[in-house]
Amino acid sequence: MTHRWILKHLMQLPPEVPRTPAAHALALNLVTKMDLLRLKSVARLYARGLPPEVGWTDLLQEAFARVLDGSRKPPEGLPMVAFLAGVMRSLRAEYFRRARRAAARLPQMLAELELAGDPGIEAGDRTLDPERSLSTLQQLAEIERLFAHDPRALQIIEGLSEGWSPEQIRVRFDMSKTDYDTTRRRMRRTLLKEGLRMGRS
Amino acid sequence: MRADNTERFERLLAALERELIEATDEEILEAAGELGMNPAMKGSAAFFGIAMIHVAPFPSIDLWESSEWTRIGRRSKDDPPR
Repeated sequence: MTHRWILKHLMQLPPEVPRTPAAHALALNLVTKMDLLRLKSVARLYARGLPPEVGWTDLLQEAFARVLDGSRKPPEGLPMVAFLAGVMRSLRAEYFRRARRAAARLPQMLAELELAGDPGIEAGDRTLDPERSLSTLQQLAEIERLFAHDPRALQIIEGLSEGWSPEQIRVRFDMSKTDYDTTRRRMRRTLLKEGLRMGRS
Repeated sequence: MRADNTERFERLLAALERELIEATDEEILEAAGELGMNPAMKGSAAFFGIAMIHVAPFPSIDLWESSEWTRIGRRSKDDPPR
């Protein structure tokens, strides 16, 4: 039954699969293949906390699409990879802004439909914020789980989330420069492995 | 004063982004190798979702409405191939 369904689905695929925006950018030499893998890892990072229907591929391809259609132009001197990572960051922020706006409009819409019936409800109520706050806690815990076996990495994570400089982190946790640099390399490898794995999530 | 969790999380993401951007080609190849992937190979699994398209069995909700990417996704079967 499952095989028949898959076969039916495959038969319905278009004969020519359209090239992705990322593949376009590669063909135009805007990025290298290794850059694509860097950006895949970044996209996976920024897809954290977004709803399940928005995957890392959507974030990545949308960033490329906006560069290709000219709606986002890289400033001179900024490497393309850093620029695209920034576009993904802003797409993520844009998503949360839209979600907040939609949540803020909801009480007003309900009032107009006479469903809410409570004139005390403010249109600016940020009903999404508790949700996002909970989701953020879960995402933080997930990142910490990635490094659960590495106490030094967890210390660096704490420092980074507090906005401390490398020097402040080293002083706070009594870490030598070598220890700090080695831990950062281990963290990078873990993040890369997490970012490069197969799967949509 | 401790920042709220959202602010801390966004700061952490930005720091980890820099970490990934600065990864060398060798580090990427090593990480891919540990996952059993060889990015040098044509059609490597490492590029699924990047250079190769995912065709979802069910349409997903469009988050952004005006982009090229969405247009590609919405191309009618009667449209000429591009």
